[in-house]
Amino acid sequence: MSEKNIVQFEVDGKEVQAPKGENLLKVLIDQKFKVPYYCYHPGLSVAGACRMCFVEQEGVPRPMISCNMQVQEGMKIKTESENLKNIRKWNLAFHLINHPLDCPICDQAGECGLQDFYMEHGQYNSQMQEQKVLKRKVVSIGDHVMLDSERCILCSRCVRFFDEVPKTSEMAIFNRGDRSEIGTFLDRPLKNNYTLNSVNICPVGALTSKDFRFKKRVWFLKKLNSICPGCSTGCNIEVHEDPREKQVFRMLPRYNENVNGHWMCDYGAMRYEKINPKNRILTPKLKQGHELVPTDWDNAQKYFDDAMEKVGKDLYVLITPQYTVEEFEHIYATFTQKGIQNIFHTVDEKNIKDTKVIDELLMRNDKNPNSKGLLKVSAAHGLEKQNLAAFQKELETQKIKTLVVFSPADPDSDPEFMNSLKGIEAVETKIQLGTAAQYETLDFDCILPTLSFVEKAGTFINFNDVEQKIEAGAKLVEDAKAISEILC
Amino acid sequence: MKDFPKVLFERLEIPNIHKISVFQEHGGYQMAKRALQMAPEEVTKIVTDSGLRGRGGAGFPTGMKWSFVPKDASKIKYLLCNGDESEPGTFKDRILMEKMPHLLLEGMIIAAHAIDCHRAYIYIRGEFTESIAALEKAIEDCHTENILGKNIFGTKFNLEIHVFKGAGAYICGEETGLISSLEGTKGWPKVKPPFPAIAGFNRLPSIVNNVETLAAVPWILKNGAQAYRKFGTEKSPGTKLFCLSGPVKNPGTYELPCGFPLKDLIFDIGGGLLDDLNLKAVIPGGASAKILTAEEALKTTLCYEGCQTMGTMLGSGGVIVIPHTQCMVDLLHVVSYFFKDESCGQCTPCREGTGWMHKIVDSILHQRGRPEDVQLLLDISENIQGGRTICALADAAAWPVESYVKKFKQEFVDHIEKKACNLYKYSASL
Amino acid sequence: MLIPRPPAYRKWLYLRGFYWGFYTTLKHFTLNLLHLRKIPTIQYPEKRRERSPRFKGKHILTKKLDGSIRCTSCYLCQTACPADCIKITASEHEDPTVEKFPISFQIDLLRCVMCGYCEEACPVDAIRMGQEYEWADFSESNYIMDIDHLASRPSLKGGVISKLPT
Repeated sequence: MSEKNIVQFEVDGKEVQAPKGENLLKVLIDQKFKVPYYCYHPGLSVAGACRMCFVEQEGVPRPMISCNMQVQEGMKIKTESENLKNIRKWNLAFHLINHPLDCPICDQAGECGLQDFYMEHGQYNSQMQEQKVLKRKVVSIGDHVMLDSERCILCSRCVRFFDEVPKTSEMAIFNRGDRSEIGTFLDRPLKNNYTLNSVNICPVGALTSKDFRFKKRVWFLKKLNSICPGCSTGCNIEVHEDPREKQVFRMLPRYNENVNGHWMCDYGAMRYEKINPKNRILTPKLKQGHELVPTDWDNAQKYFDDAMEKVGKDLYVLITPQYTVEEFEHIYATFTQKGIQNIFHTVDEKNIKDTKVIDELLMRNDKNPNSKGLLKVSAAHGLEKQNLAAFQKELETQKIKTLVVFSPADPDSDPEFMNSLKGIEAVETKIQLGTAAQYETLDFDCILPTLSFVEKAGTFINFNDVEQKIEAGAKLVEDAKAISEILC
Repeated sequence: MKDFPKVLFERLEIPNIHKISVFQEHGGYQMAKRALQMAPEEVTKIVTDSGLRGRGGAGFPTGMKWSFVPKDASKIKYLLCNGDESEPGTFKDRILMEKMPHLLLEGMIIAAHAIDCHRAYIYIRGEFTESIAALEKAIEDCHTENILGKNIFGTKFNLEIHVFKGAGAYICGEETGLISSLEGTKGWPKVKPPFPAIAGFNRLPSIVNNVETLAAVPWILKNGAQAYRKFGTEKSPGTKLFCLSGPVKNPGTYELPCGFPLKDLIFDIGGGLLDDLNLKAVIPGGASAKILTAEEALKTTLCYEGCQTMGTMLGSGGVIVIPHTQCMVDLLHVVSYFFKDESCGQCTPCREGTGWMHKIVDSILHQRGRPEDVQLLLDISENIQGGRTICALADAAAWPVESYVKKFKQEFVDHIEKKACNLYKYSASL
Repeated sequence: MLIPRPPAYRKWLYLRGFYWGFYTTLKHFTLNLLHLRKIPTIQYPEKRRERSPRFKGKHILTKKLDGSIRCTSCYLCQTACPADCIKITASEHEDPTVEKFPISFQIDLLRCVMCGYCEEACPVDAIRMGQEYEWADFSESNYIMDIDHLASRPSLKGGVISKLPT
């Protein structure tokens, strides 16, 4: 951006710089000025419906809504004054007169726009004595979304979202005046891959996620910045987990202009289920006779180390692109140091080249978060040619004695994974390192639980070669171990 | 009755004036023909000089509005005629559209030429079936006479005029609401800026003019700006249609020069109130205008600035006479219901405020009022007006509440404290 | 360093206190024997002291008029609890006007510090501190009170109805 396009103006006596023509409210929010707003969302068009974001400009007689103003050189803005306080107080009162006192049962409580701004700008005693307007509650619209019309403040964010982002225009505001209600035509279910975003952008509890509904109050949740493991787009996300309960409850999109903007797909948002203990390998297991028996780490580690020692350089390794770059590097480095060259990866070249989105906005064909990362690390060790096809060829020759498989963390990413290991029965010692309970099958002699993407720090490289960090949260599975601890 | 200068109703009495042949016999479309010979800027200048102000309610100078349209020839521009007459107490555009559809079309041709527009729409509320039929017939006739369509009057100017039937929402009379409705979406006003003259219908420059405004244009072109300025006052030149309703002897639509005393309209032209009735109050500009008490009404002159000095507005010229038997709480109940029902529901203060005010008035009327309700009504009305919403409907809803409660406070207090209405004996239900 | 030794006679001064205490005991013993009615000791468990209504005893979950649990499972008690002894699991109610209700509500009495914050935090008068305080038991697991015990244990005689309507 050139110097010419930066304008300087004054807000509450403070000098502020912003690109010319930028939305004033966006600048005020970014600069942490306390301006309340409901209908404005940086990723959507301006509606100007909530009338909360009034500011005063010097030389203009009336306060104006800042969401419909553009920054200009030398403008003088005031965000605090008696008049503005009064406007906000009354506008908030208007928002609340028909809003039900649902907070105890509303999932939005704790992150609700009405609650937040009420504490700051509210009129503490309601003067409304008349009957509230009653509307429909608990209406199911779609697989992921539940609608409560009474709580809706008609900010129209959801309506604009479906109009502008997935461009499906599924929601609308019906009726007029104080009988206005949001909804879908004839309550048809929402059918696109981005419905949960409408829940995330809803400033109140009108749209709630069916999946997260009543599971947890938001103030118990700890947030950590991460990257969605659902596909190669690498959407930036916020993982919400409760460390005490050892569970992840939801994943929300995090703003990144270059990758996903403000949004993420429903498929990605539901990936959290795969890392909860319910779907995880909980303990190391060894095959005894015809079943896998849980064992402790000492036993399992000994079995693993013995197997490594016994086979020496003839070990075969298969890696799926669902681990971090650091883990790939560790795996390749450890094995190649021992002289092992039979390290194969399952990256599908065809998927890598196909970078087109397969739904409305973000989802890509390659359902692995780190295919590029695995390719890069294998190329650094000169082993990029050893892909799944090569591995299957080796498998057919039946000369593999010992095999270590790093299985996919998310079984949905590769539904054909187990089929691609056809002929594995002939291998003498088969060891699996992974997280997904789905792969706890008798095809393996030893299963070792590793960490999922929320429990470890690392890097994912997305389809576009963008390197992105993931943060480590609390351990969800007590017995899971980092790959660097198992392999050394 | 004295003779007043006629601009719009000049040819109204001529039989069958709605027919194109009769209209053309009486000088119809001559002005359109002449305008097409002139440069668009010239036409705009004449209208600007005449001081013609928008007759829809706000009174914005028409010529100035036209001059806001970008002169860029590559851009498509639209002329939208606002025939969505829905202000309670107003019935002037309807007469023009039904009786003199060609006068409106002639005005539209001139206006379209002035802003270089080749496609115009007339937005009429769906209830006005007769207006729609008259205009559709008129447009059809014009096409056969080569007055509309391609190469009008042999010039290079093309113009298509379409009639669009609204579904009858009050809010669609607001210019951006009208544009939304015309675009096929819900009739929701749009945030300004950008103003319609820059980005209106389909995000292209559009001019929205009232029927009465456009119908006055041919006369101005014919007789010149100065002739138009002879009528009316300095700031409100010309004549205006006034719709007199209420219990007067001669209700109806009258064309009068601006600055005409309200007293004369009611007692002279309107013939005074019906027997046994006294004047209690007057609403001068449709239901949204602030009410005037009898004393104030007698001092008021019917022009933009005259109404402004009395704290009200000329609006659309719908003069409603209120007799002494009318209970103001009852009246406000009806008026506030209208605005509650017609609020589009987009902006929170208007959506919730109008509903809340109606509920309070309802409580007062049905003897459930609380002493603090009077102040609460004033507080709410104060806090939904004055630029707090996208369009002016909130102001329109707030003004009646504010003025009724302020000027007839005692009646509201009596309803609350005595739980009885002094005027109950006059109630129609008795 | 030299610590001076107290004079030897001081050692014997404690006898004064000993005889004084002995005198007090004997005095009350004889007085109580003579005025058995005024005796402050209560013959527990035959007799029990009346407690203030603000006494914080064993928790009670109140009920609505129709007998269902008042609690909306808002988790505010769990949030306010300093001892982390409350565990709630919420679920969807079939009645859309009720919407949310607890399918499980556990209080671990051994963790509870009887602070009464849960009662303070409750927005719907669903949890109260009752009058009971005798909960000696042999097994630890018996101290985790479930929803049935909290709402309708025999001592509550059918449960406590909340003051709030609906």
